[in-house]
Amino acid sequence: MKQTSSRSLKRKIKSLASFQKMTRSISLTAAVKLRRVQMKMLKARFLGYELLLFLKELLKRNNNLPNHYLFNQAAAGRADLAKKILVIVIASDRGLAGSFDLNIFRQAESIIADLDKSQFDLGLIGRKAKNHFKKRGFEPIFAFEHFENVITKSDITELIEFLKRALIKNIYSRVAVIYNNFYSVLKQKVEVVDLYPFSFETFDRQLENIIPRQGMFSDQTKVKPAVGRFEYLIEPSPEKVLPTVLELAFSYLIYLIILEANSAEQAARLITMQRAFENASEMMFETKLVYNKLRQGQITRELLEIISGSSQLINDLV
Amino acid sequence: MDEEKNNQDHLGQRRNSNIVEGKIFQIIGTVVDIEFKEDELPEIHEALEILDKPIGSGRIVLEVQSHLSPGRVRAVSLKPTDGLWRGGRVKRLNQSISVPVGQPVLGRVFNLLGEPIDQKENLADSVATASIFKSGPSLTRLSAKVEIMETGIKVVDLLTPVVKGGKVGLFGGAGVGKTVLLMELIHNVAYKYQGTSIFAGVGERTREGNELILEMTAAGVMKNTAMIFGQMNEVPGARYRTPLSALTMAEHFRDAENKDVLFFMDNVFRFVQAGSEVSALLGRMPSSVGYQPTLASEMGYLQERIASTETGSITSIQAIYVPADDITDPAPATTFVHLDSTIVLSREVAELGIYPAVDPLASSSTALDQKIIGQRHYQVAKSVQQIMQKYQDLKDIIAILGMEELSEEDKLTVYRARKIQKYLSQPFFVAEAYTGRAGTEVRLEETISEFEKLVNGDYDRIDEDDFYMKGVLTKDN
Repeated sequence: MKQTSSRSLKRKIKSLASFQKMTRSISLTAAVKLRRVQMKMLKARFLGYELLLFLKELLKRNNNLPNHYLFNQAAAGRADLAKKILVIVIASDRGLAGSFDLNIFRQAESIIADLDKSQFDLGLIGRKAKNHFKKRGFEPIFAFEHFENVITKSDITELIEFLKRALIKNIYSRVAVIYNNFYSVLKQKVEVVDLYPFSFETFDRQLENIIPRQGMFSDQTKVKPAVGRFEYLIEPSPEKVLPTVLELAFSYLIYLIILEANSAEQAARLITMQRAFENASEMMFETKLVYNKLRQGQITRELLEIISGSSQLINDLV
Repeated sequence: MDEEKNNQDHLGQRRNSNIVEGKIFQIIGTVVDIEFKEDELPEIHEALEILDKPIGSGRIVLEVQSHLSPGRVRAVSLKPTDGLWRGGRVKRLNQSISVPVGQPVLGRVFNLLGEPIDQKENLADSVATASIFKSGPSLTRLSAKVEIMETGIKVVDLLTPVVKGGKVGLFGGAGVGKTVLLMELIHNVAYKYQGTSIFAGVGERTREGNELILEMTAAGVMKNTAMIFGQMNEVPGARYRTPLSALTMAEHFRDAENKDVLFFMDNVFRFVQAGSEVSALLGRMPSSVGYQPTLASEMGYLQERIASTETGSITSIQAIYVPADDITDPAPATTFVHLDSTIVLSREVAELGIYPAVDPLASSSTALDQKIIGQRHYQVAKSVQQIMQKYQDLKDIIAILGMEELSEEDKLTVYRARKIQKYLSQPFFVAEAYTGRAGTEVRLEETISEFEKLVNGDYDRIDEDDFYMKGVLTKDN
């Protein structure tokens, strides 16, 4: 039994009104940001698509490729158990995006659940990820913030340099990135991508992930059937071209993944805040109803008391 | 019968038997105005009996409520006034309403006049009687010791401990389970203590009284119990006086026999309501929300008499109906102040299917004090309340943003609060027929340790649904 006073109801209505204002403005901002980052991301997909397609075909056609650190494990074919796994978790800075972060964390925890602490390193992107894993006693190997919205390549140089150094030193057997892939405004899905070792499967999966199935550009990118079965002829030589291409592809994929995650984040925020706005409106409606009922009840009661009181007085006088 | 003759009869009879008679001059519902000779005016609260009444009706007793003009009194009838007529004769009984007291009343069922209504033999004339009007025990005689009485109901023992010799109020709107909880308390307390119990049924369903009699007879505690009923089929005057009649019997056991008495009353609101009906018929100006202007003093008079002295005690458990679920309504609000333990039953909790539907935040007890219940119990009860309060505060956020936006601690709080809420439910003995679950009684010690585990997080891994309708979790598994 709730003790409702008109004052507390008024206060609730007021706070709900500011809640509505807040959620509405967050969702509007998210919509604007989504449009910007989505455009950028969709465009970035073109280059990513071509790069992935090229690498996929290259792996399929050419047998004698030169050794490169990004290819090392692919050549070996299986992960080295003695070495660590690097798990990169991409979450948001601010939250307020529904289950966006939660799904990421759940996926990340299911991956590291079976592993001993010495068997993996945790790389975190986003303040929420940092807070979440610090609270659980994990010490991340790196934790970046401010990777939100439209990012440029210079923003992530530090991250890419770190990864390159680590991979050249050959301390990781696997680099797994967990992020939310953008499918549409209404759908984001947690994906786990093995950025290292570079393998046929990675390329194939990422190709699937970045092809828009609906909406903008969905008609322009289709997996083109590979034409011919001949080896690519690389000029001047594979040794000279391949490292550049591989490193470009590597950093570009990271860039693209972050853009995907950011688009997904804004979309999730947009939807979550819209829903929150609706919930707040509904609650507002109900609270107002209770308030009005209470107010009207009080008025009626007072009228009744005045009338019965005065009629009693009149009776006494007569 | 012509009036001249009637008057002569009336005078003649008076001279012969020294009985003072008056005549009815106005009947408004159950309020009857009677004219006496100016020097024979009955006192306020004096009982009168109607002499001219329809054939076949039993005793019709009235109680004087106010003096109108010299010789004229206004009285409230304690029986239906159908068939009475102006000019009918009324005699003074020269005393206020009295009820039988002492051992002979145990095992019996009465109406407010102390007449047996259980269709057994009448009480012997030698049985002592006592007036239903009496002042409460003086301040110096009141007992100051505070002792906890175990009820075996988890939520009551944990959050609103019942004080022995204290007053417990069960507040609740229509159909949230007041009567069931009261019956369970009777089941657990009266059966266990095997002491003297008095039950006052005021303005509730007659059927419920019947069920209680059958059940108590079956349990073998009826021999220690007296019941007084003035249920909803009675006139307002009767419902208005039933609590006092029952209380008079309880007081006798406390004062004359130095016993510890259990006093159950269902429902205090009906007493107020009857008072309001009487008040309107008496022509008093209604006060706030239409209640009688004398609401607080009527309640005070009743509640002050329910007290414990150094020699004997009355532990009272009262059900109080809350009209329109509004606890700020004058009737429940006036009752609040007199109680030691307030158990508030809430519709929101009942809608979740949690019975007893006790609202852990609105309920309270003066015994919830470290000095009385001890450090451990106090800590556990406070943590439970804190968690529930936090959950209450978070509910709006959850409703708008969803669980995802809560921090980790808040989520944990919510999970624990939901478990606590479920765990505060308990299958009742008296509700076995409805729930299909065997009733349970949980010792206070177990209750404390179980909830201590819950608030400390020992039960974090157990699913929320496993806590629903359990006595003690570990024992059941």
